[in-house]
Amino acid sequence: MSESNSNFMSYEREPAKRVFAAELREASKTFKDTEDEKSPLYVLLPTGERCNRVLLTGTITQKDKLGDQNVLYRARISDPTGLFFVTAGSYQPEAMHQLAKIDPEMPVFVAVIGKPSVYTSPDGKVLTSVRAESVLVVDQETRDLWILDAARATLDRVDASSAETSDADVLLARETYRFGPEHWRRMVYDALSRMMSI
Amino acid sequence: MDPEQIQQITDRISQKLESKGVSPDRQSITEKLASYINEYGVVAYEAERKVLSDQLKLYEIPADEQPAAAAAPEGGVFALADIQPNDWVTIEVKVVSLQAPNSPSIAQTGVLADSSGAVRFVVFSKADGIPQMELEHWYRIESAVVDSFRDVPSLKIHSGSKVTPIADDRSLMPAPPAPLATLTPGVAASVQVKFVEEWESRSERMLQSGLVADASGKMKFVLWKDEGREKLTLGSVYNIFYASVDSFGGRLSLALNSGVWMENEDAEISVPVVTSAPKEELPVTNIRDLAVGYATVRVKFVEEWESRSERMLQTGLVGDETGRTKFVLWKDASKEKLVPGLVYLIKNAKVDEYNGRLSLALNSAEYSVVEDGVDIAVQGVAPTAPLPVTSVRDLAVGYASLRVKFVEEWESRSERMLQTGLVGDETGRVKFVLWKDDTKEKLEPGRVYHVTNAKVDEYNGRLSLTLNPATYEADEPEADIAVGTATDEFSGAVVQISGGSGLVKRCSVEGCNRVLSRQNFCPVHEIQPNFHYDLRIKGVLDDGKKAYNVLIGREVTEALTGVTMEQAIDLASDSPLGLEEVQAQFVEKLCGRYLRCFGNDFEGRILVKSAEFIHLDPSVTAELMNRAGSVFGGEEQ
Repeated sequence: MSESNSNFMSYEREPAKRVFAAELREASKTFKDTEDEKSPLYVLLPTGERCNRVLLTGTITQKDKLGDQNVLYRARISDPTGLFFVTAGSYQPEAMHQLAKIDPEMPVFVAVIGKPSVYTSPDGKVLTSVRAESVLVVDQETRDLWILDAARATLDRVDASSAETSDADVLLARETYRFGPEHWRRMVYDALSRMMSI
Repeated sequence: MDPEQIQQITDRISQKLESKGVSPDRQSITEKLASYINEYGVVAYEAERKVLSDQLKLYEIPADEQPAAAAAPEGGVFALADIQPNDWVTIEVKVVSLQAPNSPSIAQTGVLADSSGAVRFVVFSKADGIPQMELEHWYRIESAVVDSFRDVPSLKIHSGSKVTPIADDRSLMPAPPAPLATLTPGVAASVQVKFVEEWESRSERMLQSGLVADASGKMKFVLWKDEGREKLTLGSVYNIFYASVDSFGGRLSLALNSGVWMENEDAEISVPVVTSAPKEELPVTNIRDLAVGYATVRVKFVEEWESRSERMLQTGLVGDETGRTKFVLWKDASKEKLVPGLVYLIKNAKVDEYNGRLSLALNSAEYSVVEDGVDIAVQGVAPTAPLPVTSVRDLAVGYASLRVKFVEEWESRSERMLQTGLVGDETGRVKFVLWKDDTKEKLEPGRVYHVTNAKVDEYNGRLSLTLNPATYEADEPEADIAVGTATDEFSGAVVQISGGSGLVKRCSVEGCNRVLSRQNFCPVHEIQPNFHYDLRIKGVLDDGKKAYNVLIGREVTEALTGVTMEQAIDLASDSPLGLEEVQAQFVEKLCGRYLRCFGNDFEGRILVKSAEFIHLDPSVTAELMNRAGSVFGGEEQ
């Protein structure tokens, strides 16, 4: 089997990780597996898993349109733990059109599928934002299902990251991030208890 | 979030607007905040920012005059009481508490105070050039960021900040004591409280915990073991400065370790008395109509739960025709356990609220079995009559009777589990669980059973049977069932609807049936003026661990989208976008939604035979809450 063929065979779409806003916001470390230009860029989550795509839901609170020629939409989306910053530009036509149709003056739940990226703002703040592939208005039940999904996925990562392990991602996360497993477990608990009371 | 906290945010927004010379509609501000925070789950600081910015727009106050945009107050120095998440601030403060950092990436952490309030702070190790700050010294801190986690503001001092010691000798006049009822998560600058109740500490690391109270209410406090710390004296009044206010499960508690306190022998505080149990016997209330206080109920004990605390004798669910509720019975020599399945008259039970859910505390109540052998059909609970037999394929959450063969035994992963594995019939297989229970016996592998009224649960999109509430009986030893291999189940969110989904045209040359491209072009038969329509979805279903390509045919597509092929054809011919319109509508209907698909993998693509939307199962929430909360232990009491 030639190399290109084996590369083709091994192509697998990156799954969309379920991450709460508070955790994604803390994610600042990025890496690639190989030097290859096409190698996907991963963001390391504080709970110790790499991620190249995320699924998130929340309530949209603001939408800004930037630029004339190259339009870029920027949106603020809140889940029970914090804020997601989501962008969609002309390279993401589907997400851009979907976002253009949403009126942020009325609160609505949205689901976003996209790629996380980390950048440093001019004032030195490290920010994580999500470049959207799709932005969809969803109902409350979908949002609730997502909270449960994100809670379960986060707890799975927390359990894996607090166990004895030789997993390189977990070890790197322990070295990189300031909050340990209990912090994230508490975040999950708080998110769930807010959902119960909503 | 409780109305009081929302009221405080309303006040803050209103004050900002009033300072701009407008008189805001407070009612509408409160309603909008409540909607964002309580209905839409938006974090409080973002809801505040959003509602304020909407109000500014409404009153046509230009954005550059927004006070929220960190327009520094006079002299450029913020009072700690005024700082808001996301502000960049300059402050002049005293270090009133330092704690050992719990991570190597933190250089210093503790509490800063000025005469208006106090805040937690963090200095990151990476922040070069920030001097080590000393306890009891004053500093001017420029360009610190106000961050917030779980609604608790904290000050981040980073490499862009500037910290300079203040030379002049200043004294700190602490803020006057705040009533407990007005505290919010963060640091309480000052409170005056009476230590009213001491609790047995449930952790090695805990020195003391209990309740403190003032005239406005009471609050839990915790004092962790820490060198040089002494216990508080029950019944004394204390002035406590710079204690942390933590929010846990919607309840606030005071963590004293960051603070300082002084016994105040001169002060006496009148503490509200806890509402006492009614002397009269209350009339029977329906579970649906319960409210915080005391109540008498006539209920059936429907589900026993494993207690998560040493101090707990029993917990579980009781219910009547109108609903179910949790109950708790704490260990007490005079109390006896309830018997599952029996109907009880519970007189004057205490009704508590926790996380917005009511529960019954039975210790203060009198309860007795209703003797006449009556049964109550509890809402949402096991049927009393045997259900007709269904097949595995038709199982749904609730209760079901089945005729199944025990086909595969699995190793149980829990001490409490007696047996687990797969049972199946001609239509498929399903996992079952049998919890340890004196009255239950293991199933024999290979045998066929009549199972009556098993509980059908769903977890992570998969159904399973719990046999404990069921009765089961083995069939003749020679009875057998040809167990069908069920289709595989794939659950997850639809993350992509690919091109070529929706209404498609297919080549009508016999045996071809390929999808035609835009100009009715078949890759084999070229331009095909004759074609027939089909409806399908090519997409990606993603469970967070793996992304599956799925192909959904016409019937299932029609069922999921509610759009028939005829309607799709009309849609495409009415819309200027043609076929694309159908695809776009399917994206809106399905993308981002949670689906359960049944089908088989064919060369890396799941051919979906049936599919359904996943619905919310409250028991999953409870399970996850337990899992997330397990480490904190019985925080509920």
